[in-house]
Amino acid sequence: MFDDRHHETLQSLRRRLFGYACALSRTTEDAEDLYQDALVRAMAARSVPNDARAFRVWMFRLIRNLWIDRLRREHRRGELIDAEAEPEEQPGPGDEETLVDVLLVRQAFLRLSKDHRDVLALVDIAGFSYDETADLLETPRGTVMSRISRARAALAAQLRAAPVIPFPRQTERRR
Amino acid sequence: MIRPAVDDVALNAYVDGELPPSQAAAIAQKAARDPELAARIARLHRLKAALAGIAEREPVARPRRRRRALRWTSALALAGCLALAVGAAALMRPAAPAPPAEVALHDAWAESGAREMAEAPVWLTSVIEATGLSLARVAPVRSHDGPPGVHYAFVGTNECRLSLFEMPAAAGTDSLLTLLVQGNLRSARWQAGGNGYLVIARNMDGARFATIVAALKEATISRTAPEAERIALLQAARQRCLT
Repeated sequence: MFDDRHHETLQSLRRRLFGYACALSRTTEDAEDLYQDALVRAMAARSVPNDARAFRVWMFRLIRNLWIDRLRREHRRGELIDAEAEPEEQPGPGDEETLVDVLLVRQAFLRLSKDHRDVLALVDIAGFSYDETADLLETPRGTVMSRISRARAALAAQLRAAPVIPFPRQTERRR
Repeated sequence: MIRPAVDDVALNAYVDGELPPSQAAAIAQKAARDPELAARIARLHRLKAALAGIAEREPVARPRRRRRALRWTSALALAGCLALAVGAAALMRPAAPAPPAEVALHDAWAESGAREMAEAPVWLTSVIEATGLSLARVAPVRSHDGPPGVHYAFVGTNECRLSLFEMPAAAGTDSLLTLLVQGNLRSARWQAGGNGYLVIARNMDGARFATIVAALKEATISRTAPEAERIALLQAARQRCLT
């Protein structure tokens, strides 16, 4: 049963949980729904992990499972890029100049495959270790490592393809 | 194509701090001698930082999409949905402690166990009865500096005791729901229709309290008895009291 201790842990997790929901969702409203649905499930659950680490993984897994359910429901898998598609090439020098606009990064992130968004959201946004991510995804650590690498390469490729308007600071540096 | 000095998987693990110290040190030494490798590491750090930045936001308190919630078919889902509004709000904002005067009124009534013939609006009794509580007492509440309010006292089947205070809302009262746990005391506040509402209970299960409060809040806003389907779901979603 969800108790006060869980409530306190949830307080400390809320930013990361919501950030994770934002990363997985295409709109803020969807993220809020996802986040709130996860709270609902957590509070209504008959069995809630008592261990803090297990509870943390459990909460993120709730969000992830809800997200996957939603994707299935909405038949959106077809809109996503092939999960394991390799980018054509690794990012070259100067590509970091494109990493200046949060909106661009977010748009590029949302164009990634479900698996790539999934693993990047867990490691870079939710802050999970590889071991925790492997546990959460129920996949070997080696798979997490290779998936992270491919996902970041895919993100860099998306950013290269995006129209970029560098911030002035970046423009100055280019001169 | 020339094979890079360090493969991408290892380099990403290095940036994520996931390599054993000996391997990490080896990569660091190579990067010190190899500007291209150093640039790859810098790019990955930037990418990682940029990603972390896209989701650095606070959850926003906003009313849930009620229609969608009503389409849900399971009682559990409804209970959770009702509890959600409280739970989410409680996570999103600090709550003021329950006023000592109202807490004292609740405790005095709870200790006395007083039950008397009482009447309350149908919109209120229909909701509260669906949650497993029954009206035990209605009494006026006088504040020293404002107009009078009403204390509705409810009793559950396991002797749960819950008080709802309805007072004219003070200027600037927050309409959003706030919830606070102080030891065994749970309280919730909100404003609706020009009134301020305060719910107090002791030793009540958190999810049950949240369910009741969310149902009460909806009722104070709509001022209508809930639909039969909603009542049935509320009844099915009852949870036990701790006392």
